Amino acid sequence: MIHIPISVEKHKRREQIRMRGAISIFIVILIPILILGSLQIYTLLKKRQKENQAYKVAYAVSDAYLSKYNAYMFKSYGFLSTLDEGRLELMMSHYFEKNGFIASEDELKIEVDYKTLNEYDVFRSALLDASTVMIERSLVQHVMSYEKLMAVGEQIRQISEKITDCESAITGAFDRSGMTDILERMDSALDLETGSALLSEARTLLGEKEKLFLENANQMKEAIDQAKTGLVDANVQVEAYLETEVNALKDSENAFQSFLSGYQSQLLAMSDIYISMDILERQVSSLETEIDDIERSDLEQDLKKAKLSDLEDMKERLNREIEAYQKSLKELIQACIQLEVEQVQTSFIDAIRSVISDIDALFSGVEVGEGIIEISSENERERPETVYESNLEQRILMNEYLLGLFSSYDEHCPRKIDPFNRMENTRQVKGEVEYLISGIKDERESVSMVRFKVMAIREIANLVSIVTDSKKIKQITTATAAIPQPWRSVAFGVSLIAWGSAESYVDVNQLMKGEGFYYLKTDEEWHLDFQSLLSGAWKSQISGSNIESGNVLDPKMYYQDYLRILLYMQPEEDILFRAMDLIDSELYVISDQKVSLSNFSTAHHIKLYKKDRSQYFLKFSNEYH
Amino acid sequence: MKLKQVQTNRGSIAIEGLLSITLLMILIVSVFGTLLTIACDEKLEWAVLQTQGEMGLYSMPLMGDEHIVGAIINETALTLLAKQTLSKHLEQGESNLLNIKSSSKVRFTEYGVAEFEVHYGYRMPNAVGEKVLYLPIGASLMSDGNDFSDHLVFITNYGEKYHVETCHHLRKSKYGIPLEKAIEEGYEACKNCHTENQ
Repeated sequence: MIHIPISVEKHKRREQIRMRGAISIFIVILIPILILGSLQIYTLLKKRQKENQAYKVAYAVSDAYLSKYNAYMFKSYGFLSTLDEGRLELMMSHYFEKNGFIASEDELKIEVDYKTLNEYDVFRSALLDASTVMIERSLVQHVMSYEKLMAVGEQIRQISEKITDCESAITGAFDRSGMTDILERMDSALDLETGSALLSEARTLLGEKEKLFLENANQMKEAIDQAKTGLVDANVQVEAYLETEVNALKDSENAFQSFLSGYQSQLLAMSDIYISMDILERQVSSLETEIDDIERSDLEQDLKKAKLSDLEDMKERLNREIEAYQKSLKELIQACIQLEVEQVQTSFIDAIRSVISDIDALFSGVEVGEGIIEISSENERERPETVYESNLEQRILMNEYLLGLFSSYDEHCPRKIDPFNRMENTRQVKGEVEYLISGIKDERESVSMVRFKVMAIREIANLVSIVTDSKKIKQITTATAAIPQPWRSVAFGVSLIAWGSAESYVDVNQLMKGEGFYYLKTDEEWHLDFQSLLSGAWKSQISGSNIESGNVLDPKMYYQDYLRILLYMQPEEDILFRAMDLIDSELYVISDQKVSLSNFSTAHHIKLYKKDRSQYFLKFSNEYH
Repeated sequence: MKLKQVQTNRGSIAIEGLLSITLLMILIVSVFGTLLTIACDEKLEWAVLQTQGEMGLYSMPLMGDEHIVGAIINETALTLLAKQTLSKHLEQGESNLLNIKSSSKVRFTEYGVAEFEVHYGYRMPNAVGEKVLYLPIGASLMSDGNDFSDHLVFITNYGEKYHVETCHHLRKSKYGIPLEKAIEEGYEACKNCHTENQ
């Protein structure tokens, strides 16, 4: 039998008891703490995950809602906007319930702030987006022509050629034929492997096109920057012209000065007469002195008396002579002035007046409607606090979009494009673009104002053409040669302006009929001859419209191009507010007074509340472009 | 007697140790498993959102021409396309632990959008069962078909009748189509709404 020492046995027992105690503490205390802690962390993580998931679902619902565009707004205006019928709230509740974030649809409270198209900033942004829808062939060509119009010289022509290169490349970038083909093939191939290959092909194709577009868009931007330089050159030319005008005015002033100096010399001559009268009077007084001396002499008294009476007769005769001379001189001057005025008036001003009234009658070819744009009084526009200033490219895009969208008084103009096929529809007024420029709701007044503005632009060009053309100047000089100075200068100026105005009048008429011509017209394009203008033979020269079939690349200027210039001259804010008016009134009619711009949204801000909580648990904005 | 006492003590320590280690292991596995499922869920949701964005791309070339879209894209084709796009995005996120079930599908809803119903599970021993995620995807028909035309009627996904806008048959799906086009494609007037209107 083995005897274990008592001390060793005791030590082992104590050790066993200590170990058991430590494990018990681990089981009883630490394990529950670990389990409870893990559960807490798990609950917290799950809560966070659910909130995160709810946010994603809310965003997906918002995105799907905004991507459901209204057909009419897209088809007619290219606007990607959603017709708000309260479906967003329903969708949100539906998907929150379906994904288990709420027990029933009543549990969720939603606040939606729709960013609708009747707000200036939203409309502007939607319009800029819509204008890019048009950035296909027609737009690029128009940008080209726009540059050509604004420029005068060869420099702009070179830029336009550069844009032509970009144009074909950009048109290629927007070619969808490849994508359509892939989609068709995808429809027929219903296995994953083929579908995957087709998708990769589609992505590669889109990537290439995007790269191509960006490269060419950059090139086009450079070209447009160069065009700005071209515009500066054009300004220099206009300034030179103005300087010529000022010089002409100075010449007229000089002529008047010479007339005045002539008049002064006449006055001097008259003062000479007065001086000689003084001398005569002095002689008379000396004679009177002599008479006094004679009177003193008794002997020579009778004789002297006789001499005195002779002298008095002489004095009276002299006074009568002087008065008669003064009177005849005055009459002569007045007769001269009258004669010259009559000559000028009858031979030029009256003739030109009759010519202008005849030209006015020619406008019978352009019928102006009498429509009035009806805008609901409810649509009072709120002016934005801060107005964004668009850059040149954005303004060009906007103007091109508005010109394409709205109708104007030149249906036959080859430059007119109709990207949304809207021109077939009956329009409320024919002169919508004219309204954008003038802001006048009465069509007749609006068109008159725009016609006057176009005429003003044409008049400057025509005056420059006349002044710089020696043949035309010679015609006026010949016609006014018979008139004496200073009236010749006046007649020259009047003739110049009258010829320019008459030509501009005819220009506007022809432009509105769809004809186009260069900004500074060539001799062949000139309508009125000065001699025939005065004689009345011009009527036969311009009878009938001579509209050539041009195309959008035609470097001539058409009515559309003048509208383009006038649109650019208007403040952007005014143009956009007027465009909103037009679209609103159209919607009002087409929807049978059901909807307006305020019913279409392009973005929204959402706040989601759970009814048992005081604060919202999700808040986000979505702008879908 | 003393030896038996020692052996008993040793046995209880072994049992306590075994229990403790087992519980600890279970706890560690659960924690890691939970973290992995949360990470997988995040990846799946991200991939579905990416899919939603990409699905719009396929409709863009045909936007504005609802009839072509309606003719060439049906729910089956859309389901295939959505699943394939989702798989691509999941592969990019390297989510090998996720298992997308074949029962996932795309269907048109009464809100006029396509809904992606994703059934999925995890390839992990600790997570069993199937989860479902419902997300609207703005693919297929991009516009609401409403052009305020007097001759516009509305059709449904599967119906053979055309209806006026307020007809109760349009609860499930609703697409605008010109009356002439509807007649040309063989649709007939709904007896309920057209009788009421007449």
